[in-house]
Amino acid sequence: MATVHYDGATRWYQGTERPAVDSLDLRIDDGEFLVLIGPSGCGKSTSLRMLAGLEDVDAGRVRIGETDVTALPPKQRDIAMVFQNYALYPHMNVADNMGFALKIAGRSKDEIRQRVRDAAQLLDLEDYLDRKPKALSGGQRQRVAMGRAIVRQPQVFCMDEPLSNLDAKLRVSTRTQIAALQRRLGTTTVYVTHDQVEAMTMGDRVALLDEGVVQQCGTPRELYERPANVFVAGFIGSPAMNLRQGRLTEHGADIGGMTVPVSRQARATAASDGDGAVTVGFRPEAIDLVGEDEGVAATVTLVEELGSDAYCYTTFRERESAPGEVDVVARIDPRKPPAKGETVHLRVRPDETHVFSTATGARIPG
Amino acid sequence: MRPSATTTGRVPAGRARPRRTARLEPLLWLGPALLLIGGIVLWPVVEMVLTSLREISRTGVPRGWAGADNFSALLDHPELVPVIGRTIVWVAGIVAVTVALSLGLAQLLHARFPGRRLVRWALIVPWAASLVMTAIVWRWMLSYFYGITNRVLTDLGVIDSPRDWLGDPTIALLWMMWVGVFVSLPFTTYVLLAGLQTVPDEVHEAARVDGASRWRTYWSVVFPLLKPALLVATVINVINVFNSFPIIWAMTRGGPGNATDTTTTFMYKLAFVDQSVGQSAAMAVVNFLMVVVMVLLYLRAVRWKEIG
Amino acid sequence: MTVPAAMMRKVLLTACAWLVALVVLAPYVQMLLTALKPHEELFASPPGYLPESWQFGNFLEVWRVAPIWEYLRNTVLIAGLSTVLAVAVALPAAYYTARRRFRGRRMFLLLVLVTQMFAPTALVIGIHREMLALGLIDTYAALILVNAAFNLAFSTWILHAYFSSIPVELEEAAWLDGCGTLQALLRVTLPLAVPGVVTAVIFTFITAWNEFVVALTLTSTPETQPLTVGITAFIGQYEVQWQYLFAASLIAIVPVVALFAYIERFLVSGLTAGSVK
Repeated sequence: MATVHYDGATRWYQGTERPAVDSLDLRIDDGEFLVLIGPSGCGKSTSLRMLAGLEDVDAGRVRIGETDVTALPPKQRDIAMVFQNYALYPHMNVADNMGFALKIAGRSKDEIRQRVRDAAQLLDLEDYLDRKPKALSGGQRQRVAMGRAIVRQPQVFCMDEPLSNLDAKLRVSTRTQIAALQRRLGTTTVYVTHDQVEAMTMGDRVALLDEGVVQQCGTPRELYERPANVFVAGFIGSPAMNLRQGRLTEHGADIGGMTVPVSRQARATAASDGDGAVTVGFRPEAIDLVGEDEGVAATVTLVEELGSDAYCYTTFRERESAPGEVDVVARIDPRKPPAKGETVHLRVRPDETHVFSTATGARIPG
Repeated sequence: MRPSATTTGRVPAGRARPRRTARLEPLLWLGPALLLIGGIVLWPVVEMVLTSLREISRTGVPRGWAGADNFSALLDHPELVPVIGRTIVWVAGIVAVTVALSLGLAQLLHARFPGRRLVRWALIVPWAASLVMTAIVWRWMLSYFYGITNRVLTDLGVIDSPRDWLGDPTIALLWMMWVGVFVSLPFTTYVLLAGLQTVPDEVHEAARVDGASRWRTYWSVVFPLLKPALLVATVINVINVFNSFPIIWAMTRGGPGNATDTTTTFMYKLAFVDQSVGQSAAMAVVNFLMVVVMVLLYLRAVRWKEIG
Repeated sequence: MTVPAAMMRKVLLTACAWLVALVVLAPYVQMLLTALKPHEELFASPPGYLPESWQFGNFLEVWRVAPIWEYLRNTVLIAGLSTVLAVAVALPAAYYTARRRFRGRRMFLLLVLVTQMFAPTALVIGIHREMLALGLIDTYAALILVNAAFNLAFSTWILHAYFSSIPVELEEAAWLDGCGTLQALLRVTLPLAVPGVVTAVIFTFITAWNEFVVALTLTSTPETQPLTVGITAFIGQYEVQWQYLFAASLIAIVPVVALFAYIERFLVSGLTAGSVK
């Protein structure tokens, strides 16, 4: 068990304009479950593969514990990886798949058998040890891939979208199993996913990457409640946060006729930067439907009912000065949803708005 | 060795990779193959071209440069024009008939019927068997006095009296072309069968829903999808048939005289019967250029740019 | 009314297919029947369909009347060693081109594709001159080199396709499990490429086994002549001994047809260089 340290780790593919991973600095504590998330092509898988030794590090360092592994081949890093497509050896049965690494390491047959059986018990795979991967279901294959990692008792688990080949229902149950297993084993884990629900539910901390750069790294709650920039704000949360450009006024920020409350401090900071134009964000749940003479009037274009929640997609016409339409999504009481085409009145709750600099995208504290 | 060892962008100081080894690494893996191709496939090409420009004695000793003498001697050869004409008929005839028959055969063997596996295996035999041996048995079957062909055709009443099939150059050529078709059918049919397997079942169902008849479905739906396979099979056949030597060699030796020679057997006879190695090399160069043209056509057919 | 029509169709189809099989096999059946006839019956005119007296002994006799053992030994040695050489050379090239991206990779694959189209027949004059220069006329080495070189392309293509179809992740998993490059190749990748290797081996073996033109050109004595060239000696004589010629032919044909049937389904993809999917 060990810490993992990315120290300015950079990967630059020949013939590309920017690095796939650009000076990545991350410290992952011993036993921590860190999730790397981001849109496709953001460098999350490349980062993971740099740790595993499957990808060259062009600049910077990667350390596992006290060891600098930057130049070490994968076999010397003591890392186990769960691949997206599981990468089970098709010509070996489940037991041989799980015991392969121990066999390569020259462990005794008895020890291998014992450790494989222990792992199989943990994962409910005892009845399948003699089967070839071909004869297993998707969920069973996934568990074998996990088992192959566990048997090793490695310093670090690397998991590259291990759930993306499962159907929706299985994904939810496996998600909790993996998280529980990791807590029980206490093995440092780096987990790559593009699914924010996985990121939010599984990770001790989440690092959100875009274009090879960490946008924010923190607990799931931090990312949700205090997004560091517009990208994080827009990426985390579903439906996405309402993000609109607006002008600062005396009372708050004005977006096409709707006034959103903005803290005094944020207004002051933005004003001192000399910019009246800011990007304002508020989550669908930060909106209240209010009486006719309050808030701003908007037309309902679509209502999405999810059972426990309902989301109301609305649009309202901007003031004459800047003609156009503004779309706003609001979470509403699912027991009395408005009808499509109906007019509702929206108001954003104070203290639940986020203000970002339009120029840099960075959060303006407030 | 890691997967991207050769695609490094920036190499940080202190971790300098042995770059020269990295650049030479492909040679380590490909070297033997390059050596074999270069030494045994490409060298003969060069050797052939050089020989065609040299004067070579009947015993095979080079006597100096001949310029274009070999080529002009070849052009003056009275048999050259008929041989080339025959080669064109040979290639075009065999390939056309083969492709037409194979289209039907592939369709037949694609359908389900009892014993399909066995029939497919039977079709393999002419492909796997030695070409010389197949040609020899055809020669035997076509023999004037002792051949089974005459017996069968007389018994069926197709002919009144036995014929000397291989004695008449025109008829001999036709029979040899049939043997050419016979040995080309399996490969062609198999390629087309593979092509048919790529036609999804839904296509047939969609066509049936649209109310198309079987023929209509075949011509407007299946055939167009089969075209890539057809193209590849045709070009490969053209090259193979063009190079086909054992059939003619075993059945008539290109005789009587040069009456059933194609450019391939003609070239061979020039070198090893007439001992005119220079002229033969000139013929070989011409032959080879034609093959190169066909290979270029082939590369177009397989859309080389999309591979790799 | 459609059921009888469908039945008719099926019967007709089956009949056609079996007829095709009959036509295709006819020459080889004739080969067998001739091989079983006594000498006198061969020169009966008109010939009989079946032997009147079945001479199964011809298949034993043939070993005595001609140096079949030597021819067969030559064929086996030449075909076997050509195969070993071709596949041994093709394996690393195929693996490397399937797994790595490097300068000249496309060039190499193009070269392979082009050489696949070059039959030794078209180059036989040049090959003869080269072997003359190297002093390899009438040697095994010449035939082995030529057979291996001209079959290299097929082996490389089919192995390249096989290696490409094996997910890289399997090798990566093996590396993480503690394997080095070579160990991962031997323990994980190669076992999975076995069908490709078998196809390459059998196809090369058969092509070399049946090769005629180069052997005809480069060999002149029974010490080096393979069976394909050797049996033509039966023809050169004053009176062709057809029964022995065909007995020897069948001895050469039967094993390769069996091997060929075994790799049938892999062949087309290899021969058409992956262009027909």
